[in-house]
Amino acid sequence: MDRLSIELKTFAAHLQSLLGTSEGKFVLIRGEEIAGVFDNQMDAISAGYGSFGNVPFLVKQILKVDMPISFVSNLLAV
Amino acid sequence: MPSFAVQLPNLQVMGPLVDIRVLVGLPVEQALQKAGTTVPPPVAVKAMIDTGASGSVIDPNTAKQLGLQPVGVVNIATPSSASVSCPQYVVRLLFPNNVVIQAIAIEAPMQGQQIQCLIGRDVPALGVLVYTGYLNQFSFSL
Repeated sequence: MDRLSIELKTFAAHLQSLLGTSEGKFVLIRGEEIAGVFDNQMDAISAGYGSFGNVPFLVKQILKVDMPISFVSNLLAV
Repeated sequence: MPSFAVQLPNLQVMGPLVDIRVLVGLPVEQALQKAGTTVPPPVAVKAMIDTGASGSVIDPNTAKQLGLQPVGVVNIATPSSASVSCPQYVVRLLFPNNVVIQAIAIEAPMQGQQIQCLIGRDVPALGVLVYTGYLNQFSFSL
């Protein structure tokens, strides 16, 4: 995911401290900046558009284990 | 209660297909308007309601036509892959009869060219999906 590679590195670098304070919440990251932590995903996304406009940013739930989302049918070509 | 119903020639063979339009999400539209940028028109796609999909999916061409920027990344697992990283976008799904649902859709390529969108369980989670097989009909209500 090239367009969010910096944000994913920022998330990984801060994950342990975020888990200590905000496990289960959603973090908003733009570049190397942690822009906020929110109770729900849509609030974090709306704040991202409000702060940064229509540019790539990362909203990710703060979890110890990042489980894949499952697709049991064969409709996806991945 | 907003709802729509779809009648198909053979629901079992075709699956629950529905013609929808995909539009940028509301916060995207507001950001574009604030920047004085034109909001892309909705993209017409053929969608399938897939209760085997945790979330909704749009194909890369739809995301490109809408000029979408990612707001997240998720790993997905399919029958042929354990973990593939995919971008997420905020979109609105415009169903028949003006049923509109805002979703955080995953971008992933589809098998073949018949469908360009999967409606995953994030949509039925919001309402009532009725599959009436013997009538070749399904309906969804919010």
